[in-house]
Amino acid sequence: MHVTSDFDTVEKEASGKPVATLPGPLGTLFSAVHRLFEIAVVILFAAMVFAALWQVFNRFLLGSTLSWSEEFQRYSHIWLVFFAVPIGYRRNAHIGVDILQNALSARGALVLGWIIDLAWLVLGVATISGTATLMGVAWRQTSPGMGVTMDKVYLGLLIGGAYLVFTAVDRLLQKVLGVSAA
Amino acid sequence: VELKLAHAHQDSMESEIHTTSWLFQKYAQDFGTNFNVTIHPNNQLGQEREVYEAMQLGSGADCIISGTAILGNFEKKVGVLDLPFLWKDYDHVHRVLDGEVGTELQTALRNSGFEVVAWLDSWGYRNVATTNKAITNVEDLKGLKIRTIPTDTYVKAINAMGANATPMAFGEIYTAMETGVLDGLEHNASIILANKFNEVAHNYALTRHLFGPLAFVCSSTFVSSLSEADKATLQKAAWFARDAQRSLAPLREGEALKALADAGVNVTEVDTAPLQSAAASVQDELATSFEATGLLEKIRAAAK
Amino acid sequence: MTLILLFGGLLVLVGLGLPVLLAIGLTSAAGIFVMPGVNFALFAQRTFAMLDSFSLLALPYFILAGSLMSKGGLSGALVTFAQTLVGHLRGSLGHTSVVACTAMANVSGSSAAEAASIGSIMIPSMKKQGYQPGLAASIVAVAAIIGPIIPPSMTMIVYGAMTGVSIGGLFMAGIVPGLLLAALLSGFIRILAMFPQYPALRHHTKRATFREILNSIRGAWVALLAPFIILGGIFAGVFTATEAGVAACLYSAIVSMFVYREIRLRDLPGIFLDAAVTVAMVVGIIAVAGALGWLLSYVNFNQSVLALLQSISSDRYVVLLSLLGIILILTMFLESLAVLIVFVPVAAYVGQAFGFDPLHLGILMIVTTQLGAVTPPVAVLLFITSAIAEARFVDVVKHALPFIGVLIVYLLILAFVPQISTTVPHLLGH
Ligand code: NA
Ligand code: NA
Repeated sequence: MHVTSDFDTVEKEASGKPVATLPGPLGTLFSAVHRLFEIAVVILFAAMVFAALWQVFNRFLLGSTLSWSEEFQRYSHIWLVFFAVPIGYRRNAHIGVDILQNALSARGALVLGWIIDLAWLVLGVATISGTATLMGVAWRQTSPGMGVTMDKVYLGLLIGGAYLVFTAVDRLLQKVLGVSAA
Repeated sequence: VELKLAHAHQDSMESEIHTTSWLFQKYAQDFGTNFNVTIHPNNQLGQEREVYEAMQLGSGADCIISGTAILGNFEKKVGVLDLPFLWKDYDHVHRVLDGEVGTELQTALRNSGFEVVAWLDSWGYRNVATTNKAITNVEDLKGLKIRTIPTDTYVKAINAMGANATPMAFGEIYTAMETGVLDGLEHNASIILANKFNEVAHNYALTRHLFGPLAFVCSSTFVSSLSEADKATLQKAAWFARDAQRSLAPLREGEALKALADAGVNVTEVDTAPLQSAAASVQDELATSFEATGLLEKIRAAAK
Repeated sequence: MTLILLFGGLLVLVGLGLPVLLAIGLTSAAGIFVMPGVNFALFAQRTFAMLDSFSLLALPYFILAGSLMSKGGLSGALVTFAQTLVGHLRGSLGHTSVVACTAMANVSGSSAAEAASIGSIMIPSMKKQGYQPGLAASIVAVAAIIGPIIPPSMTMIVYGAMTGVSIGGLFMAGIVPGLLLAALLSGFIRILAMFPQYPALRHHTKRATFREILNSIRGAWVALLAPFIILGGIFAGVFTATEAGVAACLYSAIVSMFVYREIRLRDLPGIFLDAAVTVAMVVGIIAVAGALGWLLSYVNFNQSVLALLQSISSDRYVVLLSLLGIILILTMFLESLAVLIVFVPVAAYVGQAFGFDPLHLGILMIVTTQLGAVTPPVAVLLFITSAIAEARFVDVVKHALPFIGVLIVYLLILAFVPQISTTVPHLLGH
């Protein structure tokens, strides 16, 4: 696990290299979106922790209970995971069996890199497409705890899928423009 | 006809849902032409909410048997069936669900893509099981942390009884009672036995606060794909299973209560009459939020 | 045919070097896409549904608590303390990990939470002492299995609820097997320490004096108190086992900021973000594995397995070992809990038809699925610890293999000596 000591420092890959960014105004735009999702993830995580503490506090000390807290934590957790999967991808943190990659020639590794980025793109598109259909029926349904319609809950998957596509596009553009980590 | 029937219970004949599924399967396969019914117990195709959602998309299971509470997520009027202290006896439930009220709810659910082919009984009322404190009158319930599902109706029902409704995931109940996070839970006797909650909850008070009928539901997509003859077989098989299941209900409830007592659980009768006025106002309040005041009146009228 | 395509496709993608999450995600998406009569929306629904569980929340909370503890100086103090205690033994930090996991098992019901919390504390210190990252990750991952074998245990609760086997009985049945596993692992680490390939395990210090032990307690008492506060909170009925993770977060945040003063308020967002990425790496795999598991249920996979088992033999031990073998092979490619859920009906049948004690069979099922959590390529516990160790997965797998061998021997002992599991619950009337 890699922990930066300060939220404002340059973001690093799992290997310790700083994450590569596109040059120019396009790079500024991409960085801004990445930062937005990082902030969202931190807020979601903090909100989960507060909801859980609030739940225990209410039940044990005030003798009253919250019907929304359990559901809120569950759904926030799912949003957090779907938002943070692309961040892990950007940091090259996801676990894989990289025996083949290390055995390949530079050219082979390059091709494999393209395949992997395109595969992430496909997974993102699949997530968006599946979730969109799901939301088409889920608006009829109300969650019992918070009383929101389920399409709003599933929105997290849609946003996460879109962010995954966005991140894959960032990586593919970097490949096209020949950008590499400093 | 290939039919996938899903439910959340164990594949045991002690479960009213699995028994109904099995009866339906045997009838449909032996008396229908080319019916092949596969039962998927134990949430194999997903939790009830997810199975219903997939059925709206015409995917996953073709039919499901579940409690009616979950259907309230899809059509809030159905929530009226799970109001506290609503049902007088099994006959009352049957009169209402096989009559006008049942038909009205079936029509409402059709808009969400569901076809209710039969209304079923649960094998016994929901009562309160407690760890250490025996409940002999409603005063004893005051302030006890009783686990229930995080649905408004259930939370309000438990709170109306003076207890402190504590929504919690099913998997946490056992240890939460063992350590004292919970003072008890509310469920019917057969669920208490099947999940061995009697190992930690030594008292069972017959509050009969909720009945929780069941519904045998198929997706509209599936039903409309059937020929008229097959539709008739589906309906006959479901009704046969329903009739058999209903006639077993009082028998099995009595057996489960006896089994609890034999397992050393202290089963107590509780006079809930002091709760009636609180319960009536909770019923009115919830029925208004479900837009089901008319249905509530009809159910109350059928009690007499 | 469907099965061959699914497993074949998955293996090819993982072999190509696609991240495991991506490989399982694409395989299950493709499977759901081509399955006739199944709407593609179910790919999204099943990944969501697999995560829609309160018990799973223990994972992010304990991962966060672990991050806070390791950044906040608690782990350092604990390790100093552990070293003065067992530092003179060969493979000391290995033994400490095993002992810590056993102690933690009284609190934690899930091996993933154990791997995350103990791993965050022990792995950095082991690396500092010269352990190869892969070795450190393997030791903690394997020791974390003790967590759900010693009660309380989420897996046992799921199994008991699904089969009707007594949960209290399963809890009692797990005590001796859990302690046996701890002893076996500690013994194995001591044996490894005799080989030249494991220089770090030869590492040991002089036996600490009484004064040194006292000093280390003075430095570590706040950290040492943590499990007691968590345990105490659970047994006093303040919070549930899942909520204990949040209590651990709060306690370690307070101690790190106000006692050890190694974390400032402005460090918290970075720590939260990094913990969230670790959570996503692990839980993301569980999510997509949920979609794959659903697809297997949908094609009646469990009924095919039952038919296969019946055709193999009528000898009870051949059938039992075949069942456990099939589960082990499947857990190589799937998330363990998903496999357990798919196989519960098959196990129930085997138990009834061949007369196995339900508690004995339950323990075997639980141990087998836990073992599956360390068998590559899909090995959730190794994923967690290799993420913490920042180790190459291949290196972790290399170091995990001898330990997996020990675990298989352990499973066989449990299978052929049912008394290890059944004596305690039978004595206590189950
Ligand atoms: Na445990
Ligand atoms: Na595995």
